[in-house]
Amino acid sequence: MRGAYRIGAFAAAGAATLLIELAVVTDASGQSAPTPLLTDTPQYCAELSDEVEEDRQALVSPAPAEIEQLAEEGRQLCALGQVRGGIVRLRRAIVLLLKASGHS
Amino acid sequence: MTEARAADLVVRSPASPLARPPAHPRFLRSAALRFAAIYALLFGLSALALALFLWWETAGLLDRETDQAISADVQSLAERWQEGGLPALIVTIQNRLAENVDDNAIYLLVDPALERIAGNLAFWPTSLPLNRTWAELPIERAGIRSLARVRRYNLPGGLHLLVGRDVQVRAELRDLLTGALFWALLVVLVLGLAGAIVIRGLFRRALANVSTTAAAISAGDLSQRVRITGRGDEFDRLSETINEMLERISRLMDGVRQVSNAIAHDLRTPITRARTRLEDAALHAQSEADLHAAIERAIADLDGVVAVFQALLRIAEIEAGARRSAFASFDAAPLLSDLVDLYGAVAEEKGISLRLQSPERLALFGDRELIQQAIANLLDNALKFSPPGGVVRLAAESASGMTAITVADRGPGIPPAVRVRATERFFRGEAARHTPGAGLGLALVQAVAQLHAGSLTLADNAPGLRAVLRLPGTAELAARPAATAMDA
Amino acid sequence: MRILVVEDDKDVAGFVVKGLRESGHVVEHADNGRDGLFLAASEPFDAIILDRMLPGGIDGLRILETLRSQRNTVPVLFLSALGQVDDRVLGLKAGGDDYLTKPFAFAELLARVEALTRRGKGEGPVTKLTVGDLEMDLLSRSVRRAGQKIDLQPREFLLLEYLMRHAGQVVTRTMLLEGVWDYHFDPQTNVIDVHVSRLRQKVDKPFSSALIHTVRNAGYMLRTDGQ
Repeated sequence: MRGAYRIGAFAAAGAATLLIELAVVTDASGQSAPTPLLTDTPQYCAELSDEVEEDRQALVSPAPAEIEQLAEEGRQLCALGQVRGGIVRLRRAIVLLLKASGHS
Repeated sequence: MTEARAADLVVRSPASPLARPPAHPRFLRSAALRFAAIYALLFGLSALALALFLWWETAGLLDRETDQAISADVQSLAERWQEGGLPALIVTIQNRLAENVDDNAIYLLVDPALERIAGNLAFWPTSLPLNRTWAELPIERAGIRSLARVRRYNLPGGLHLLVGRDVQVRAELRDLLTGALFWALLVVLVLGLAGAIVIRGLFRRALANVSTTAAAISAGDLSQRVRITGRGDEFDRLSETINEMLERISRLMDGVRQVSNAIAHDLRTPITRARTRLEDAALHAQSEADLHAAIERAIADLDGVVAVFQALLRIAEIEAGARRSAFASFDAAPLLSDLVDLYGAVAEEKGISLRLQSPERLALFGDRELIQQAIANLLDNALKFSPPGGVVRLAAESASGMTAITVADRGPGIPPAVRVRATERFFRGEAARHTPGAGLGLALVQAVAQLHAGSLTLADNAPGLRAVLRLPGTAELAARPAATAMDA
Repeated sequence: MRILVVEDDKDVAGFVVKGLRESGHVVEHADNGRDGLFLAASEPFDAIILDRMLPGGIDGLRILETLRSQRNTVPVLFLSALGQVDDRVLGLKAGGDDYLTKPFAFAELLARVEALTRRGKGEGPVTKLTVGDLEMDLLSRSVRRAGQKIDLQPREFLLLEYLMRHAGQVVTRTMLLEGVWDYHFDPQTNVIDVHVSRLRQKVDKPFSSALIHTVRNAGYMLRTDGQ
């Protein structure tokens, strides 16, 4: 019977660990005032748009149509207020441009 | 109804004042409950282990991966700073942000006054404790709350770097998992309890069977037996063992009852006779000679009583097995011829021919005196029941270590139906009704046989009785403990 | 004869003491082990009747062991309610000369005590026994009565020898069974009577006077009529 009690103690300890873990995780998320991110703004959208333009002009050959389309879509989304969607497309365009220029 | 009662018994019985265990809480004194609790505990424990494993392999894995990515990021930024100083670091941060297709990177580089130099975090979060390297940080993305996991890194010159990832999706997944696990644990708890209750019920039911029987028996009803379910499981085997035990107990009790009845009857008769004689003499004796005669006959009666007692005691002594210490190897051939010599005269007197058929040497291992008495008893019986002109044969032979001593007569024998009972104490066959004796002779032979791990067989000699006493010739054969007389 | 009875049971002791005195013996009685040992060690006796179980810390076996350790060879007859074979063996091993289980017939006790005292005298090796006109030569193992040779079976010879050695004394059936056949239990049938009657056929029948007499309720006695 002693063994059973010992197993019980282990079980209780395990349960406690799990509960504490859950408590910590939920606790951390919603406490103080959130810090705003600067990369979700129309300004950043414009910044990226400029960078796409720069990178494209730096290319020796004309940019592939795919990149052009991505950049255009990004600009349009930013203009419509879908900033995060626009930024994602612009970033993708930058990455593709970098590849095209053999940079990375 | 009976089951419920029996279950109560199970719960209550350990709490009886005689067998109170030291200091367990009352509910733990029920074995059924204890087993149920252990079951629930084991069940819950395995469920918990499974939950912890799941957690580790999903949410935990994602967390670890994020942390690794952040650490690698910090590492490479620190290298860049070392190579190219602050401008290189700023450019790298800007490039990384620009190329962050996953849209989850968070960087912040601040000067010693915590003023932003580069990065996409608006300002150094005030909530961030200065002593912690890792932190979960609430952020705002385009007006929507999110959660970031960040690592802080101090650069030389009082600069602080914060690198992190947006882990909102992971946090949501983690919440989902937490909820699921919480409910699962709840279900486990309920299932465990239900299982425990079922186990407790099964346990009690299995025991109730034994317990009701035991209760009935201790109340005096020895005819009760434990019901066998026929499943052939451990409980069935336990029940069978208990039933065998009960069978043996009741056989022993029957034996004791029968013996004490016989004692009461067989001793009452001579005692009554002696008493009657003495009273009669006291009231009616005409002369001193009459009185003496009556007293002498009463003494003879009482001597008979004493003889019966002594025979009983001797059988009991033999059955107790105390005499095994006196065992030795000896040659039984002279013992047999001496017996024939002793009883030959009696046989001759009765016109019976007593014949001995024995090898030159007859090895026996045991108590010489007891074996002598056993054979004497067999001869005594044979001569008593043999008709005049008959033949009584005493034969002995050895085979594979055992020695068989046969005494055969041509008397009335013992009918097969009662032959098994012939070795019981006080058994007297129909033919023995009018002969002297107390019916203890064969009981003693049987006891001697069993003491020596041998046997006594009674068979038909067509006509007459053939009694075969098998005894060990060597110490090895006599070594196994003697069975008790009741097994016969 | 001087006989010491060490027995704590008043009835048994009284019965034994009275019986022995009536038979012409001088009897001392002790009802506990301490007094018994004191008497036995300090006074000469021809025989001691000793109860196995005695009150007062010193039981019969202890008394006997103490006496024997002092080279006291007085014949001792054990009296015991413990009828078990091992007890008899134990008593004889400790130096007892005979052993009798309670309850007993007084005749048996008397016969055995008298046989003991005869044995105790230690006649040394004898080669010839004579009772009246009956002669037994132990060396040639031959028996003659009135000069006439009597043919005896070996066992009959032993039986007659036992009777002759205890001539003039009562010899009980159990004594014969023990002394001649070395049997230590009671056979149910009258085996001894049959053997004695066969011996009579040879020793007494052909002659005018009987030597082997039956003593009622006791046993047999070998004696000449004049004795």
